[in-house]
Amino acid sequence: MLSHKEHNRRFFMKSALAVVALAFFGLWDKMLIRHKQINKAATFVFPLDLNKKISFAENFIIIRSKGNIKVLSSRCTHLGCRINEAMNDQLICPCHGSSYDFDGNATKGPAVSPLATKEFIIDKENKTISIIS
Amino acid sequence: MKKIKTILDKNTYGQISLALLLICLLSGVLLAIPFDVGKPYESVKTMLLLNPYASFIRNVHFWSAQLFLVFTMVHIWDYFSLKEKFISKAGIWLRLSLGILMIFMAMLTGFLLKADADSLQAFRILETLTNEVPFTGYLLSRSFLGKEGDLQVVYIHHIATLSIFIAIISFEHSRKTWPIMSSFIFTMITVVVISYFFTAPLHDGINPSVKGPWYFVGFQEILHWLSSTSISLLLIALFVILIYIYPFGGEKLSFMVKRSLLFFSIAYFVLTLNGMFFRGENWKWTWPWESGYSYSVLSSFRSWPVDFNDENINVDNINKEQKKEGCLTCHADMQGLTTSHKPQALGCFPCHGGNPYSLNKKVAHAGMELIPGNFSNSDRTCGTTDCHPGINSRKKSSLMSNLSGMISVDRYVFNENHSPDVLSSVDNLGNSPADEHLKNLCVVCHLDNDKTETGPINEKSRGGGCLACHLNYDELSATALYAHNFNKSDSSYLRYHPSISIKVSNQHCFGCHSRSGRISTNYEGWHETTLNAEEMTAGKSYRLVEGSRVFKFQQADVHHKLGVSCIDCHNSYELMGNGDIHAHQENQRTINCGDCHFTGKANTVEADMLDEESAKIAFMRFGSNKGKTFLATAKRNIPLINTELKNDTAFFYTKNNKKKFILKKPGETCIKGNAHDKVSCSACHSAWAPSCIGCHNKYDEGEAGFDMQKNLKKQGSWVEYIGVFNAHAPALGMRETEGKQEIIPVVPGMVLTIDIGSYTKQSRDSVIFQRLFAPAAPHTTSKKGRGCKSCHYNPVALGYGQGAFHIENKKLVFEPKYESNINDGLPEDAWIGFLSEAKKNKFATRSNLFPLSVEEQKKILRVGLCLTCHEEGSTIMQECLTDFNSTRKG
Ligand code: FES
Repeated sequence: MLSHKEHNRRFFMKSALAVVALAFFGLWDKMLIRHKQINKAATFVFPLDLNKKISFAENFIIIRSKGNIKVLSSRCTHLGCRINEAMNDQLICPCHGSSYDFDGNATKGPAVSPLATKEFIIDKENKTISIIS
Repeated sequence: MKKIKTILDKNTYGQISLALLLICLLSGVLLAIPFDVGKPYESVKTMLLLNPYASFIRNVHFWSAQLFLVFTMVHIWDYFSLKEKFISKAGIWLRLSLGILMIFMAMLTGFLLKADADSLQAFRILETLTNEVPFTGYLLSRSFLGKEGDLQVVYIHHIATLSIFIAIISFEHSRKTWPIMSSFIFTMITVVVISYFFTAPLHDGINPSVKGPWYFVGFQEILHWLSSTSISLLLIALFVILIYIYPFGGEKLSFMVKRSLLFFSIAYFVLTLNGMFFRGENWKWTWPWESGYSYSVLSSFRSWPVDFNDENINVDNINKEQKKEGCLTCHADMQGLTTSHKPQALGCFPCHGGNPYSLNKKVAHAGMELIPGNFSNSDRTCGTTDCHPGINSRKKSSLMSNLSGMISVDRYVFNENHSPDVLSSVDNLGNSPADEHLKNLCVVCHLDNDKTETGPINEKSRGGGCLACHLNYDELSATALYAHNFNKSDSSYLRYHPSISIKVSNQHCFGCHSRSGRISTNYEGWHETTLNAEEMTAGKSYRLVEGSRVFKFQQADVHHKLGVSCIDCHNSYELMGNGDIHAHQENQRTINCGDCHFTGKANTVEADMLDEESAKIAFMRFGSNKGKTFLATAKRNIPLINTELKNDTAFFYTKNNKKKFILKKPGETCIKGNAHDKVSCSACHSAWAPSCIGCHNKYDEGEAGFDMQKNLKKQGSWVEYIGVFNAHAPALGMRETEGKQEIIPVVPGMVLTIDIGSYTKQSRDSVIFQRLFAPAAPHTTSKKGRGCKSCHYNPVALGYGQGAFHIENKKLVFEPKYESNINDGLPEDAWIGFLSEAKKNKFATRSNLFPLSVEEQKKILRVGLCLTCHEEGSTIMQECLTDFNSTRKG
């Protein structure tokens, strides 16, 4: 049987540990948030080829159809694999076979949500596209 | 014996696991030296290619880890199968249960660290899954995976956090730091042997199949079926909870836990087998008998022994090519390829396959494609994601590949199709009389037919996939190949490679297109005769093709005389397909005479609006496209990249030798009045067209035959007994497309008899007689049209066949040259009778092609009768062009 004193001591120790752990988590979280803020990706600049119907540029897919340009995220909405293939006007994810149309809508599962659309700015002079992440 | 038994008794699964853990940790420490976390993939590649010792240590690390996982699982299984439950302290058991998760994490981080295509996708999956952990998702994913493209955090956790945790748990669990000696030695020997024979995997960067590690593949299969992936996290949590609660529950709960884990294990095993053996590119279910199975499914199993013989490696002179792939260590000086396919830039592996990570000749050459570009391998050669996937995916839509028109018409002729326009494919040929006929006599020409021998494309070439058009031997490569064929020890061909380029010459087209419609030969002015080679007289007016076919010179196409090649008119979407399946060549073809020789405003496209393929080809052929305006086809708006519109003048350039022409407008006669509105350019400007009549087809069981689809010799074949080959100005027919009528040249496409009974052996199957005319694109264009009489007073043009018109008793009569055919009473070469409609309802190889109606015939002949007195160029005849009726009345 533990004495009352011993009980108190243990309770105190456990509480102290919990406080330290909480503080540690808090610090950890703060550090990450600041790290994210500092390294926040702003814009990605890629050369723009107006003749290309579809370009896979790192984490983005630049699509030109009927004179309009659209930028989609190449991150599959199922589990995030990078989509790097277009076949028969469909974007295809290599990991579990989801496909999307060129508007980013899922046309075959397992993915159900559409690909994220990204904002961009075109610099016609320098033939570049800046994608805002 | 007793001693061995004692040793085996001591070698429990736990002991072996401990030994494996130790080996894994030690080899990991060594591996840290050649491994570069800044360039992970490159550093692993370098180990495989240039440092067999490091490669071996990597194998030891890999195999000890895999076996550690296996033995840990077996150890757990062992524990669960014990009758009694050993209960450790709750805290230790919790850490042990979590430890299983940690082992998986350590393995997965190891998998990520090789940073190949599989690993990069696995990283993203893990990142997404971790992010989905409630409340702490982002914290966990950033803290344990770091950010994409930087493996520093993963590396730290792999070598420190997870390894230390596992080591501590292991110690806490077993109270042992070192395994017993015998276990260690036994395990070490096993790992070393396996590591020597089986190199740890590394994705080649080209194969489109991506798979996780073997223990993750079952999970990948589960994920394939789950749209909501958080369920998968619950499954993992459930697995850990089940293990955790096992020792503390009562009898019933423990039984339930055991059953659940057993069910879970069996299900996972089955899913793993699914994922490993039946999932290919894009996680598509692939059966072992499907084409490409071994490439897309089994490639992840590829493994080879470590080759310590490093005589090929000159450590004092290692160039960057050698770091790219093993092939270039021996073949770096290969010449002949164009810039875009230069091995120094591209390597050999992307086209020829094999094993890019071995310097051992046998290993490196295993599974190589000697002739890449055949359609049987183009999915994994020319058509891979980084090269030409867009073209590869539409190749089957080209008529040169599927032969839809040829098959459909042949079946129609054999009365097997209700229409000549049924979409068909050479892949679906059966054993009907028509299909056998096609296999015996026709389908050798489709592009899917593999090129089986090295060497240039020539008039005997058939098929060959991408190479059929894009393979070019220059003098050096041809001589080197010839020397090698002559003397196998001559290896100069290993230095001179034929080029793969867009330089497509008429020669490339000639092999297939000198047959049947004979477009290639017509274009150059050659008409096939029925003469034998011995009957051919010397001189320039005859030409021998393929050693036996005798051609007589008629008149070359005006474009040929100017140096215009086939590809100058026929663009990439016509030749390689545009993705849509077409019934006939005229449906696939987009170019028309009027696209270049236009009246009024040209149809154009600006450089910025070119599609990617056209832009690329235009750039490769003519340099910068900047500011250019190109002509485009009226049909489907395909840019004609070898044209340019500048200040209202249209220019045309030949693609191969860059000759420049100003494009001419149509002649005055063509556009004057409306008399010829319906007449196509080729109806007037085709100087001649070949026409074959009186052909008979019979199946001969005694004939040595050939199955052109399978490329196999066989006994028995359809035999064609040819009739007469003529060359004259073509007949005219009416094509109706979407309500629009057009007079076009036609030729006797199928005036023949077929002895069906000779094949079916059924007496009720009689002889079929067909009199079908086909639309023609003669490719014998003459600058000057064929002359008024050539249409208006020519029985051939009107479809009556050869013969002469007379006027008897003020009436026009026709006297045919050929006897009447007993089957329908018409002259052998006729389409219709004089001033008649077609006798049967089956008269053409297209459902939209018709003979000229009696009314049309009369209209034409009425002018023809005028022409018997009035000169073609006379004023009155010219006036007729504007208004025939008033001129006539006047
Ligand atoms: S991650 Fe794209 S289908 Fe699963």
